[in-house]
Amino acid sequence: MNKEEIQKKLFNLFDEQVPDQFAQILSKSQKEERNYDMEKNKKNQGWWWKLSIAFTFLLMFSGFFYVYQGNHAVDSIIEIDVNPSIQLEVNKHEKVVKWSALNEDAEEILKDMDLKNVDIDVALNAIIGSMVTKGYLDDLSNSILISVDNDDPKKAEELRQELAQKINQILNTDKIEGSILSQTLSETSNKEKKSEIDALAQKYHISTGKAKLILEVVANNPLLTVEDLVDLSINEINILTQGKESSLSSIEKQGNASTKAYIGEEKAKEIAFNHAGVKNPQYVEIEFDTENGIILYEIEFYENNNEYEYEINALTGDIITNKKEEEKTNTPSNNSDSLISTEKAKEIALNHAGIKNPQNLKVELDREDQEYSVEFTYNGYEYEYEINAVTGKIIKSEKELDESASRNSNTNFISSDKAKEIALNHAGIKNPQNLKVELDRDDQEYSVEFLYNGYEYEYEINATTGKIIKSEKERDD
Amino acid sequence: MKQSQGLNFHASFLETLLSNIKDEESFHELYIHLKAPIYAYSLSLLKNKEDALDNVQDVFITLYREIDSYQPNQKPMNWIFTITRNAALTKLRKKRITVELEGNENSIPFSKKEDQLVFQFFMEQLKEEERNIILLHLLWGFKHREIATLLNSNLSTVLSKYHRAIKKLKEMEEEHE
Repeated sequence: MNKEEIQKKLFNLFDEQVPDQFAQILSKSQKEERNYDMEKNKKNQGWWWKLSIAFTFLLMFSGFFYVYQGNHAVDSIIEIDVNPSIQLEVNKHEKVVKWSALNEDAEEILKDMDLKNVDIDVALNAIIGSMVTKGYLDDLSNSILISVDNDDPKKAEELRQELAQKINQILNTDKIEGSILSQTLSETSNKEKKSEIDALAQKYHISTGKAKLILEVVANNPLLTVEDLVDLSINEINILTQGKESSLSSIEKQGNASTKAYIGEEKAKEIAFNHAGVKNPQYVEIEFDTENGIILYEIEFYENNNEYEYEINALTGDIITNKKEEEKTNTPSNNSDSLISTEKAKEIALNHAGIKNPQNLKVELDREDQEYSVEFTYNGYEYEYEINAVTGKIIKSEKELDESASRNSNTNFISSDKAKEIALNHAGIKNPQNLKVELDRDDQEYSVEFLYNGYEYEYEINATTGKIIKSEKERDD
Repeated sequence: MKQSQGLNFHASFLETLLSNIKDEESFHELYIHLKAPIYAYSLSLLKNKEDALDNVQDVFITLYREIDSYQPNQKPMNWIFTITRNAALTKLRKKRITVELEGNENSIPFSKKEDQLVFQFFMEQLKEEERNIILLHLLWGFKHREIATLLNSNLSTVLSKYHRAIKKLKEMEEEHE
């Protein structure tokens, strides 16, 4: 099979598996486009409207216009998420122009509040005070997310620092040790990411800030999904990232999420060990996880070659799932400490090959398969080993003539004319049609194909020795 | 002859189709040519037929929607590749562990036994990276050097893996002949 045949075969193989979904794709694409256009129109209308107002003002009170701009134009957008999610739009002087509730809990907080033209400090004080009174912020749940958006990233960053500090002060006066997550949203440079964030916020009716936080958490923890997180409070999300903050690069964090509402790791372990009837658990790992909106402890441990896995409701201590598995490979997995070193892998391979000074040595660890691959050349041969990274056992060993070495010395190959001659002589033919001679360097073979008198001839010829490896003659249909 | 094989066609041809994507016929043509490579690579990453088919749909919808962000004279296949990979990785992230569980249940019916064997070999015997290199070279038309860049590897690794994989493929073929 030559390259072209493989290519065709693969193409057809995969092509066959895809039913014609074009009609569906087309209609979805067109529908999406219509929606998009509609939204764009809406936005455009808004823009025209604003412009015409501005124009009127400009014409009527040209001097006054700047004052208007300063007092009413939105300069920064600030989002506060606890579980209530609130959005504040403030002007240049950091006075509130507009305030809105992004979820039901927020409506309760903002009810009867008039924040118009109120200083942002005062507004924050009122909002957070209300959250404390209504029980959204306390010792058991102390996390708050603040997100600042301003066209000027520098200004956004300044405001972020200022607000994070202020919130901390406010919480302190209420004797709450808060955990404050803060971020800026002025990442206009990354358009794709921004639209992903906006789409998520729209889909789940959450704030842009929370959407950004969720995407970042999910990106850094493949075991969590967006759906897992959208309904959680900021404290709950915060708990899930505990100890992994370094990975949340664009989010600043002060203080730790409160876990006081939960039974605690020790209690959770006790419940699991008792249930499993295990006395000497080893390699115990415990972590917060979430499922169906519930925060749970995920506990893994081993005893006597058995692997145990428990999920325990972190609030109630109920066992949600428990699994016991006989361990197949050696304990424990996914832990690089238990893998043999690169040096050791190299040593195993070299010992097996009986070689001391290999050339072009390359050792690679495949973490997924927990295998080392060790490759080297020696004395014109290419060696290839696959070694179990846990046990050190050789899974595969291969030794073959180094192709690259022989490839460089392909002056030893017979010429393509010579190959053609050999084939034609063998066939006893002088004037073939559609003659094609190809050198396959991998196999070190010439393939010679031609037509003659209604027959198709195919030869494979050893490129070094000129020996005919295969000859075929068949009717050309 | 109608170019029914999505292989080996010229970048400028693809570019023309892309620039006319809002025209139904061009969009359809694009679909016919690209559904196999996009599906193959999606399947290689997602290891599940339904997800891979979903991904094919998503990729075409994205191409249609995002065409304005494509700058002509950029390499069209690179752009499509990026969209395909990102879409698949997003799905993968959402699916998390289930991928491993479903990994070996690729019971896709084939009319010919031989096709079944090649397919199984492809999905199960080849390592993911070998498989991707083969796909990107043979179905997507990327050069080895380009593949090295796309997969964040280097040329000599890509070359040696490519040749090793092709060799395995051929050996498998011969065994069953």
